[in-house]
Amino acid sequence: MNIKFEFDIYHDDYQRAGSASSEIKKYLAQIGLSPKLIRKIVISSYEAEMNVVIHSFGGKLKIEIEDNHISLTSVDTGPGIENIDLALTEGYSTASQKVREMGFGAGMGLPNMKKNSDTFEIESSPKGSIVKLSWVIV
Amino acid sequence: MKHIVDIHVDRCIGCTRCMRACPTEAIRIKNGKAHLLNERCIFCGNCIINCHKSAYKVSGDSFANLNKHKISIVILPISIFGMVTSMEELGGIYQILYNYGFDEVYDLSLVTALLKEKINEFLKRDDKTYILSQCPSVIRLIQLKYPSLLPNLLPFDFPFEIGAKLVRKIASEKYQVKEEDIGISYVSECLSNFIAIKEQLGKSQSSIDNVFLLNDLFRNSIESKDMEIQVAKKGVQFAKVGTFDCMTSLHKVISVDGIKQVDEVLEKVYLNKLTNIKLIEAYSCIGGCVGGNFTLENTYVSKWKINQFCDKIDDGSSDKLVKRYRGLLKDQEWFFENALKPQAPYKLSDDLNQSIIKMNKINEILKQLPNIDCCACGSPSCRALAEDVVNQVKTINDCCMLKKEE
Repeated sequence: MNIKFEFDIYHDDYQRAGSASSEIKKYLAQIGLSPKLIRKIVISSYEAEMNVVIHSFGGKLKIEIEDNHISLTSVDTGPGIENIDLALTEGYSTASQKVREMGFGAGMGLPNMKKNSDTFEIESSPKGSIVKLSWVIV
Repeated sequence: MKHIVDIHVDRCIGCTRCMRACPTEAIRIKNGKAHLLNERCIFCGNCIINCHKSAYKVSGDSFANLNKHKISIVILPISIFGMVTSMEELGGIYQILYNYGFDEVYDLSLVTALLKEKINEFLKRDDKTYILSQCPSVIRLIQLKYPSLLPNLLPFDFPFEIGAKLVRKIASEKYQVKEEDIGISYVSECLSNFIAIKEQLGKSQSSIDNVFLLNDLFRNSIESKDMEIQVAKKGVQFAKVGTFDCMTSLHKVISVDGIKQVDEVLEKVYLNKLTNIKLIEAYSCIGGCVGGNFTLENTYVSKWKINQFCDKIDDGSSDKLVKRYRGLLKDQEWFFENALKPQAPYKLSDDLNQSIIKMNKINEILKQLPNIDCCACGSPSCRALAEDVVNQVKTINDCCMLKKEE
């Protein structure tokens, strides 16, 4: 069995930032995954969503369940991550002062996603970044 | 389980106001009348507040019940202090209750003052973020939407339950009667506490025998009366949101009121965004308990009255009162008897594959709907209608917009 949800995420849209993750939380509870697994997925999707809002020109968040796997993919349209290794370092952030004043951009996004997922892949070029996470449904 | 909130079918016009105000999609309009989905209800009372036809009917217990016990004691909610500005006015409230036939009146300030000490002690255990809620609605919201936060919930029983245990002990000693010869009534300021007592949230049996509604008992004007009343000042402030902030040495406290705001703050805890916060104090009603839907005074006026009242209480005598009863209850009597369990009323099916099949159907139906969430079909959103269609409680023909296009 499989199912797919897709959400448009806009650059700088702090007003609605996080709402895609809220919806994901609601849908996964309806599907009936375990609360523990849902929390890992939603924490990751929130970080992915915020990354697109803060750092990219905009993009999409996709979540897909196939058999006993669930995957979350964030795809954006640029400008790309300059140094992936640095971006994966806890506390490293390229967010502007303005963004930090709003309480975002603490440099924990990608590390949190990695920590909360079973598999974690990331690709980036100036044309855009793709982050793909997955979990096994036990 | 029969829902304790009844709907006057002759008054309800099926206007959708209550349904749109419900934070948990627990209301549907069927055949022009509101219906409650019990398992989704968190008893927040927003339906009652938003009904302009007074169709929601909640009834307190009967005064005839007072004859069942040798001694009848009534406990006043902490928000009673939002109705009075002086001890004399409080005396007037006591007098009304004696006139109703109660032998003795207690208020909850002693309990909340002691509870505050207990909570402060409990918080020192570890560095977890705890959620304090004396509000059954918030607890229900956590059970329904944030089950993984249940371990963060402080396990203290509701003040009225602790109060009933405490008062029963005090009274049985005072009157030299068995504990079961004492009948304890509570005057509830809100639907949330009312139903928590009736449904025994977190316990197998409530310590409270009868519940009355605040706005039923004090409809007439209250005359001042001099009486010997002891109030614990430190507990009085508990009636409004934000007491912990200013009254403890803790500076890592977030106080939140209003169920939608509570939901947003809980989401931040859920996302691990508030790990440096020690305590989240959450109330379903705006303003805290003084905003309860059965209170008689405006929330903000109540807050002012509480401050007025507190200015007139002598610290020394209230400290003495707290000291006197500090060790009366056993440690476990302060906590919920049963662990609170997660609830999953939104689950589409117990089988994952079945759920996914249903969810795909919901998404398909949603594509056919106008997605303007007008609620005229009697479901709280187009998505909710799609769910109702898949759950076979409604059909797509219930959508008025689609009919219009035909």
